[in-house]
Amino acid sequence: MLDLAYYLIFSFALYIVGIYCLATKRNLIRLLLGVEMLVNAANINFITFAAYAAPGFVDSLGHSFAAISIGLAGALSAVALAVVVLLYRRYGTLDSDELKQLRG
Amino acid sequence: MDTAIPSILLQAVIVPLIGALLCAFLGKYLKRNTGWIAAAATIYSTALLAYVAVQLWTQGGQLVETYTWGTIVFQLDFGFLADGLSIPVALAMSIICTAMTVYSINYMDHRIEHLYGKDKPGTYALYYALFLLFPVGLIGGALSTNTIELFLFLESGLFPFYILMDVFGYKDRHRIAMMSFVWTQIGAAVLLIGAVIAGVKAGSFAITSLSVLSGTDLGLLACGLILVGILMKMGTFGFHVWLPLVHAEHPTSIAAVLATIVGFGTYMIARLLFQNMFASFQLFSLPLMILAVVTMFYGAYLTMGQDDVKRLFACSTIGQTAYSILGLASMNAMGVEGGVFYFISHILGKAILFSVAGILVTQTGTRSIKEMGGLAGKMPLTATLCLLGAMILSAIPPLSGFQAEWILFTGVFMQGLTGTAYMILAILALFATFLTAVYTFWPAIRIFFGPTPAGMEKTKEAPLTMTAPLVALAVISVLIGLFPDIIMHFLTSVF
Amino acid sequence: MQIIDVAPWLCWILPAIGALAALALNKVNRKAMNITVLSTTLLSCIMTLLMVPSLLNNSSIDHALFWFQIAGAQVNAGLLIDALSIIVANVVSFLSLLIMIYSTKYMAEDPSIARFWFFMSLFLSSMLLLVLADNFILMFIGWKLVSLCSFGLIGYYYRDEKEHWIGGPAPFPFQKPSRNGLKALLMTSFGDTALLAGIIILYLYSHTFNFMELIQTAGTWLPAMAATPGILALTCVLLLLGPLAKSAQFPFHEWLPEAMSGPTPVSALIHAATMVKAGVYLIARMLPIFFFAAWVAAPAYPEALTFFIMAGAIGAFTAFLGGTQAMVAKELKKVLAYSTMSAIGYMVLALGISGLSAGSLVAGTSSSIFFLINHGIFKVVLFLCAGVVIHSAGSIYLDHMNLSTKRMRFTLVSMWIGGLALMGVFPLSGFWSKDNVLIACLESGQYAIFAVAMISVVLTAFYVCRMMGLAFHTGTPDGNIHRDEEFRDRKLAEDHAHGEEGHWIEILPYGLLAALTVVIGLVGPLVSEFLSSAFSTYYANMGLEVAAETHTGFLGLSGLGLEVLVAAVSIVMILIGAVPAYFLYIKPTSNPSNLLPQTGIRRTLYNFLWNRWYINAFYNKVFVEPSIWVSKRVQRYIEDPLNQAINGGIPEGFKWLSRGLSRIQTGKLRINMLYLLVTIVIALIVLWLGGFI
Repeated sequence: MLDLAYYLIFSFALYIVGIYCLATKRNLIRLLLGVEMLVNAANINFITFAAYAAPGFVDSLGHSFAAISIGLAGALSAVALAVVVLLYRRYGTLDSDELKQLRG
Repeated sequence: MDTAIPSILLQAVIVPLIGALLCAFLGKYLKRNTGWIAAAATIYSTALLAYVAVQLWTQGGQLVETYTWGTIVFQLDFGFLADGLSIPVALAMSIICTAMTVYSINYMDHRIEHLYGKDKPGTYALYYALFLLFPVGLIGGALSTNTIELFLFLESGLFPFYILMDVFGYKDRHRIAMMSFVWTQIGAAVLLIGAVIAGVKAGSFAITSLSVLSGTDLGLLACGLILVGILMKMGTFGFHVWLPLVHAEHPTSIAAVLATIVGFGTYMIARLLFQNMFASFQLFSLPLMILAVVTMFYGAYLTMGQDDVKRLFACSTIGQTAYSILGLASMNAMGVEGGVFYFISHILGKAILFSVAGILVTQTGTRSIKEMGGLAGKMPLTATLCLLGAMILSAIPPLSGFQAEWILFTGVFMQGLTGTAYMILAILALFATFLTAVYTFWPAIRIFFGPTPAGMEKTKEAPLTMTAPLVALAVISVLIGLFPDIIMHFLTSVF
Repeated sequence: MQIIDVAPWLCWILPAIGALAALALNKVNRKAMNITVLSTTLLSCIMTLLMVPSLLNNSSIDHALFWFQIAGAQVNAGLLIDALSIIVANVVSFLSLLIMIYSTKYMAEDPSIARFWFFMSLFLSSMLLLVLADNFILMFIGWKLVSLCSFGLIGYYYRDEKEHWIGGPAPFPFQKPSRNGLKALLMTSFGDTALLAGIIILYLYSHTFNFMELIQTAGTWLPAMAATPGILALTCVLLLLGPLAKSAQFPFHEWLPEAMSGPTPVSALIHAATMVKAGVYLIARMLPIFFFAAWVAAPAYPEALTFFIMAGAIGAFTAFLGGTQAMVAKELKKVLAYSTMSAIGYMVLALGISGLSAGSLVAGTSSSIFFLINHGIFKVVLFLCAGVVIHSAGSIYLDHMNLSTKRMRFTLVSMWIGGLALMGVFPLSGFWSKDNVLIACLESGQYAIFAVAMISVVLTAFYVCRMMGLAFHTGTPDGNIHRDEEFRDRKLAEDHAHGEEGHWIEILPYGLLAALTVVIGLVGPLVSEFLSSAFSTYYANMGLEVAAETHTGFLGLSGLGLEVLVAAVSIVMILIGAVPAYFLYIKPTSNPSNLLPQTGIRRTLYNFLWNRWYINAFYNKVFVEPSIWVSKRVQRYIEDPLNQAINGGIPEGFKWLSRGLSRIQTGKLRINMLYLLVTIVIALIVLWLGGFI
């Protein structure tokens, strides 16, 4: 198996990609994809630590976190996409900079 | 020492509180006569304290009452101590509150009518209920035995202060109410920090345990913090900016009580710092004396230039409290006795003067001295009271100010003999007392003597409920002036 | 309980009761009020007379009662009966009684006379307390109270009606009574603060306030005091400033001329006979201590001589100053005020002389007290006559008085007697007292002071003759009232001016005193001897054995020869002053109004003296106006900016901070993500630095 550090760096890089996506994109759906990336990065982190908890032993608590997390991510996407669709119907735009009625 | 009445000191503190509750409930129905309930409560309190004073005189010793308050983390005892220092102060403050309660009966009638019209009976309840929290705070503070209790009683005057100003004050009252709230809070908070530091280190919050820290570095820090907190509340130069505004825009009956609260710092310094932390406090002698002399001069010149009659007496408080600070800063027994005596004399005089200002405002309808003149013919009793108040402040016998002042200055000069800097300060301070005569008599002459301007022709003398308490205060001042032993007997037993 | 134990207490307590009774009886019955006040004064006078036997048997009694405690000591209240206090107390109470009798008629039409009686009676009470007190604190109470009564009485006409203004005449400025009262109070208060400082410093070394104890224990505490150089001299100066202010000596003399705005009985009692003498009394009280320090103590302390040098110099200068100002004064009462200043200068300089050489203690003190007694009597005569004169002429200005010598004979004669006594003409009382002072000067070798005193004799003669001439002897013998066009005088003139003699109740007091002046003059040497021996014993009782008078005298003369010489010289001086005044003012063909050219050196000198040597203007410019200027500026330039900075600035600061911080909450996702990134980076750096990665 590879060293723990590589897996962590990989999940960290994915996390940064997700942050970058959220920071730079304006389209709502692209932002949702960014959120998904963040969630996936966290999942990879969980699995990694589950595998490397102790030598020769796999802690399946991490696996259960990842499984629930995937399910929740799916639910989150569903609700978010529903909101996006309604937003588009209401305001005609998917640009997050345009949607500022609730901003203080 | 033993008294026949149980829990006498607790009663003296609690009865005004009960009176406050009564006023709150009955105020709506009694309207202006609620004041009599309040007066009854304060008179009872005063009578109890006078009884304790007489017992102390004849039997000597102290009267201590302790009630356990809480045992979480620290052993907190709620206690009252009546000894030579606290009884004259508590009694004097109680007398002032009584006089001001009677004075308010007529004065607040005018004020409420002016501000809210005739059909808001709830305001009477509000005023008297909150007003009675002042005696609770002052008397409780004077008699308290531990620093947390002292802080509690001191802060019990905070809300009444803010609300009464906000509801009944004069111009700009909302903003000034907030300002007074903030300043009082900060002053008390600094005091609390110092007290807590000392209390935690000493293991107990009792005032007497402060002496454990005396002379140590931490003691110096605690002493400094407590001193700064008290100076903020006393309105010394640098911390004085709130005093002219707040003091002047308060309704005058409360302004007199405020003068008492401001001067109460004298008692606190004497009790907390002089009596219990002397070694640390001594190091502050020169800076405190310099500050006091600067404040005296600044207060004098500031007061001389005022045209608004209420603001004039407000500014004069700045200079007068500095006398007491000077006495305390001289670090010897005569100075402390003089300082406390001067505080007592000053609150009597200031109550009279502020009430005279209130009478002038209600009877003439104006606050500007330029518009007044020749009123002695129309209001002879008020004019006499104003001159008596001026005499109390200017230390002219046979009123109490004279005795207080020379005893104070004997202490100051005793310190003066220890070094040239001190001697120069002492002589400067004595010159500042000459300025007091200028700024008390000159406005009195401008207001009451000279020709009467056209607008003032119709002014009449004030009603009896407004002048009678002032006459009583003047008589008390004369008595103390002729027989200073009334106060000195108590003070010399402590210092 | 002997009478001597009770009498001193009663004599000052009774007038205080009378004062309160006057207020109480005001609404009840005016006549009852008058009678009550007069009777308390009479009783007080009797009580002071009852103390005289103690004077005759040369005893010193001190009754002290415990009063109150101070840290480590106690203050007693007591009364000291000895030669000095008995003499002054008698002078005070006797003159007060006569003046109060005069006032019943003089102030008869005043509606608020209760206030007058209250203050007069309270004044008598406090003056007697001042004189009889046995310690500094009790004396100081009486001292301040007389200032207060003076304030109340000078400002008696508090409404400042035009007829009570003094100063002027137009175009010169007028002064109003209420302001004059304040000026007197403040000037004397200034001196009082210095006096209090001196008392306190003295106490800190000697641990007692009692006069007798101070002199008796002087040997023990003086060394400690003299150990610090300068403290003794400082104390001398401070202790002297109070009496100088009270007695209207330079540089605190400016309140006395303005004090003339009070009613004339007030001017007579307070500002001629009693209150201004309080300073002289106190200097005499404190004298023994400093004499002891300077001459008797084993290592003598020359710093104590400051006391005497200062008293002598200031007394002499004021005598001269007052004389010069009286020569040009336009108002009758101002002439008398300046003359009082000048006369008290004599008394103060005599007290100064008593310590300037070892042998002149008794001579200086007894001549000063003799002068005090005589001056009290004849000055009261002059003032009471002045009151009648002003009423009947309808004006306060000398130029407007042309009174009839025929119709006002009593007043004329009394006033001339008073005036001649003031000048020091033989055989009136003033002659003896003035010559005693001059002899004391010569015997102690103070020639400079002697010269100044002599010049003052010239000036006195001049201004007295000028005053009498302008009041009575100008114009036709029948007199015609000069009706002035000024509104002020018109009112006075309508009310009172009648050109007639005063009422008999008014004439009786000053007639009596004029007669007394003559009587004392006739037995002058006997009185003088009595006082000398009284004070000799007084000082001997204190342990101040005066060195035998070993001076060689002046020009080889001493004793009777010296007295004759001095008398001759003073008569010459009087003539030098009186003769020109006669030709200018009294001679029927004189016309004083075209005496003065409009320009030139005489005019400049006249202006200088008329403006009181510009001292008053100086005080106004240097002390009063800057104070007012500063007080107005303090509010605008210090208080308001501070207020803005703290009460406005701190809330503004918090608002700025809060606005700044709230801008971080943008609500934009992008920015928030940026924060997140930044936080991650910082966290990584911290972990790396901390060694966790």
